Amino acid sequence: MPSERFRTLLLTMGGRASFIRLLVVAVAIVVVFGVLNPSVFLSGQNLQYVELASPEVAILSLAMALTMLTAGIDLSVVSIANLSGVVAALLMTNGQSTGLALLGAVGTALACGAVNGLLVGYKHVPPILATLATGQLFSGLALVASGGTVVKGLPESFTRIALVTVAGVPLIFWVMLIVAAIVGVVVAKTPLGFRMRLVGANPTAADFSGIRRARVLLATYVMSGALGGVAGLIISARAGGANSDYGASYVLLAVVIAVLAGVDPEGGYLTVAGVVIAAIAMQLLGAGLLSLSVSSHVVNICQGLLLVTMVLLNTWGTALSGLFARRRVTA
Amino acid sequence: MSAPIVEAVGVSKRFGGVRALTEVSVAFRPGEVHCIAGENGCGKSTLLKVISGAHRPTSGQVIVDGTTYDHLTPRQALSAGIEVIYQDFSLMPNLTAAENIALPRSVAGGRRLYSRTAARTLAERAVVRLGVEIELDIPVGELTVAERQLTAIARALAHEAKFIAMDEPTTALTWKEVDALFAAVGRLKEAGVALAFISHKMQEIFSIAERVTVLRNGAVVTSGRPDEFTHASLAETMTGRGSQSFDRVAPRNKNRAPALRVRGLGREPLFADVDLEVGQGEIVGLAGLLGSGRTEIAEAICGVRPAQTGTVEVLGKAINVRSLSDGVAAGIGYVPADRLTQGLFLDQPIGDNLVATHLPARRGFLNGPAIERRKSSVVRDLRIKLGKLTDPVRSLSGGNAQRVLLGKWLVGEPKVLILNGPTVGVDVGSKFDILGVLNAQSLQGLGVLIISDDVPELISMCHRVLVVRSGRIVRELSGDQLREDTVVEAVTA
Repeated sequence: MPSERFRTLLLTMGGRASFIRLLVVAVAIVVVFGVLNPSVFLSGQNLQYVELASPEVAILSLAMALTMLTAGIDLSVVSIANLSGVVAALLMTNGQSTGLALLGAVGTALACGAVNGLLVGYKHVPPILATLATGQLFSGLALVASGGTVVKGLPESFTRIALVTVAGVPLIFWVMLIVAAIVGVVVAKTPLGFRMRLVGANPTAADFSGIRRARVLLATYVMSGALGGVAGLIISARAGGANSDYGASYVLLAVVIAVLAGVDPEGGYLTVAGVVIAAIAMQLLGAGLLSLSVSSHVVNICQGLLLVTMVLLNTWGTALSGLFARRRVTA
Repeated sequence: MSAPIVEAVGVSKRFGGVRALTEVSVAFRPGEVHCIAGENGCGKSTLLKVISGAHRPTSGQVIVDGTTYDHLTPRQALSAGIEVIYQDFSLMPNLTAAENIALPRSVAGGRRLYSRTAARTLAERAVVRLGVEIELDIPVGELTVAERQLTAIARALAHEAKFIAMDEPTTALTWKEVDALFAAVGRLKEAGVALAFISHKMQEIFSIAERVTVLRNGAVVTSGRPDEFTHASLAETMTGRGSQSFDRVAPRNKNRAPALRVRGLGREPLFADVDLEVGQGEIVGLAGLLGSGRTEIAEAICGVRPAQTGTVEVLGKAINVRSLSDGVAAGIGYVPADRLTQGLFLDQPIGDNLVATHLPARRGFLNGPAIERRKSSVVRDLRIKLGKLTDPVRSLSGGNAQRVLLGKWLVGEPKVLILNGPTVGVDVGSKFDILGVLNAQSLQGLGVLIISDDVPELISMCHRVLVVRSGRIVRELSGDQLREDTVVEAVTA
């Protein structure tokens, strides 16, 4: 039965009421703006804008979601993205090859992630404090390295990354899909992902199960850092330069998207498909509102309202369904 | 006979299609200890919740002090002096014991300002009345489970309760503390308080109760004075099955190398000079009071909290345990005392809990088919009753959850299994099954080390019992010496 197969697909992707709700919201956004302003919202240009703007946000949100899976958070992920971007830009403007610059950026990101992982895993610093502090540190390093200005004049071989399309879809959108697939495989198909989930669900029980919690956390924050580095490269390629304080609002946006996707901030549950869909849905919402030529502040208000509504539904959802179940019994 | 303080009359309670209670009538009289006995899931806790106003009965009434209520509210129950101490104690971990004891009274008294000294005096008085010692000035979260239990009881005392119900109050207590609790219960009885005591420990029921009511499947099976029952007849009434023999000791093969050999294990100031041996197929008990170091010794052997000195050998091979994962790699399993917080991932699927420690993987990826095979073989071997493997562990009863915890370790085929209180909070039927599983595993060569407060259990299960006092193993009892009185004497001496 096709509906049964669809159900199984949904279950493997999300399997929770929050995931279905997310799909409903995403479809509703497309339908509402498609009806209100079809000529602009459904235009190829708008679609391309969303395809170009989503990847960096989605990848940062995946990083956030990974740390949330272990009941942590990575507030430094945008700083890592900026520092990596600045490192890559400086290498390129100083005559190094694009390849070496990419390696430098990824190496920086891994090192930053390792610092977070050591603090959280081995020194038992609460993740929110550890990453808030390191975020300041990484931003400061980026500021000093870049001299407080935008590092410009990146070679065409690098900025092209943001312009190339493959099969009619921007390369960076493909990068996002590949990154998401890798994260999905790690979470669902490897012992590390399995243990990340258990560490998030109950750290004490993880210790008493012989799981090396510190190692799992270190790996988690290194992965989060690496994703930050990839996002940083995409950001600099699109902007044609790098600076230390790009996308400050992305930290909160990443949290919003993760929660919208139904990721449990208390740990133990992650849906990669949900995070990607939520990131695209947020971009669609922003693009849709802008197509109605409202101010960008209204976009923030709407994103905030959407988050509050989804959080309320996620917490009330069980109570509501319980209510309906009881009615059915008495009826 | 004096008039009851609290009485349930024909109380039924349904949850959706499930009948938790059917026409239950029970009366609690002043100065009487009334034990409610039955297996897990028989409706004991639901009955308590109806009496405390937490659940509204589907039909039937609760009579408090002569007033009949169709639906008692928690507030009405509290102001009528009904106090229920649940298994989780409902304490605030960040407040001190004194504050926990005194706060409800200060709040209920409608006082605007909170006086630290008045609270402290109130708390001290309650603790003295209970006749125990509790550190009043440190946060409750830092107290042991036993001290938290006593704090909860002291809080009920401070509340001037007329009726105190305790849901399995001795689960986490040692004999000494149980004696203190029973002495306090005696004092409460003299003061005319009605007491309800939920338990399935035979010893307790017979030593403390004036009246026993047995529930099975939500209905009263029988009610009477303890002297109308024997241990066997009461167990049979609770389970509805013929009594099974506790005696499962199998002879052990002395010719094989010891599964576990520990020499000179020490970690000052907790324990020192610990020598012990567990043969293949041998079941050894570790008895001692709470705080004697028995848990610390077990945790040092398996690597949870490593020792500073000494050696550990498994099957004659020296191993270096710096963490539990070292212990696991060497073939040691450890089933911790606190099932809910230490042992299980309650909201995660049952199946994933079963493979949490021994996770089949191939070239860096999970080995799906092997994982599924492992899950289903454990469920079959341990006869775990479950709906689906993907259901959360939270959905299981106490006995089945304990089996999941056992299965999680047995799945890795350990050489040595160390269990801390394996049957705490488990009903009689499941207890026999769990002990049976351990016995069967030991026959296959597993060395088992059991830490337990349940003396009859230790005696029936173990080939030898080691007694720990002040961090040292002071006696070894085996053969004819292995009797209830000798173990209790050695432990408390």
